[in-house]
Amino acid sequence: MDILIRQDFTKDEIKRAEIARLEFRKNRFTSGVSHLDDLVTLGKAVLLCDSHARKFNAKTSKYEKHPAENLRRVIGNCDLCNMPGLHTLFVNSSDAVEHRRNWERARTSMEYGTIISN
Amino acid sequence: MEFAYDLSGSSTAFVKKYQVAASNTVLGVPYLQNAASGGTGIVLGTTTGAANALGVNVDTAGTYVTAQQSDNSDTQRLTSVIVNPHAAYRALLSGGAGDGTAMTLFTAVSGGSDGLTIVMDQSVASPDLDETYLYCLTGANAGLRRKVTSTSTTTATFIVAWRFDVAAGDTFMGLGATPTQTEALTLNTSLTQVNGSLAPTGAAYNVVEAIANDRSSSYLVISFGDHCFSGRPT
Repeated sequence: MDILIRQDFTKDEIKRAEIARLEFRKNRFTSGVSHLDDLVTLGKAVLLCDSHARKFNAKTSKYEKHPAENLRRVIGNCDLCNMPGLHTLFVNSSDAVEHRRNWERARTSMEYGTIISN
Repeated sequence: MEFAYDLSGSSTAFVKKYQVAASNTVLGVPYLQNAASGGTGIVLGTTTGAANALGVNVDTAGTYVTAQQSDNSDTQRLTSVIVNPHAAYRALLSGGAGDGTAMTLFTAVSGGSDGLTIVMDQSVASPDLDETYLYCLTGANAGLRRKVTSTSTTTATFIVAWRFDVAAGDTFMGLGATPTQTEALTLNTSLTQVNGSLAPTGAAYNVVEAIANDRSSSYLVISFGDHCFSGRPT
């Protein structure tokens, strides 16, 4: 059986279809995944609750948990379900390089340095 | 600067995403509330300005745009900011406006026999080290610090004596601040480090403590002196 696909779309029809496809507005029939995809595409830091952090494939998305031990768990809203709470902070791998360098340098300095509190 | 801890007793950061009204590609810079009429989002701090501070970013906002995009992509630019009002941030001390400049090295020309004065090889009065801490890098007092209580050209004077007599050739570095005090600090050009080569001047930061290590890896742990969520808006 042949599947006939209409070939004579106008430019306006194509543009409207692309906009409709790109546009995401969360509602009961969609999920926060598209919002999360947008954040990942833009390389933003991502905050995920425990249940969604387990499902998030950070390696594939080129993300990792924040290298600083005191920023792996932070308070905020899950970027997928919007629930507030103590969540896991993921950062883009390109940002993680700098975060890791800062954290390692600070940790070394604290280990060998003198804490001066007046 | 990076999040160190929260002075309320928790070590947990509170991260929120806000729309920005300024381009930024640098991590760890202070953002400020934008109270201006028509302000479209939070703005970057300046080297000497941190009034109504919001916090420090953990990701970058990218390029701020206002015009509708030809591909209909979103014009809103967000950045994730640590918003704890009492967050303490660790800021590297830089010896100049550039990143990672070594702090100025002071070498003792002579020291009194009572440990209360040191004559340095260069001026300690311009920029003025008065009311800031001096940290001994080499010599009998290595690893110790004392607060400078007055300066005169190359002579630094102390009230609490150094533990040992200072000998010619002993080296020191300034820390540019006194912990527990609200200091006027100047950030360096990238806004991620504190310019430690200046006498206290600039924006209000509370100095919680200092981590003295060497001239290239010493820190001030600071909190904002004027935070927009602290209940004392100005």
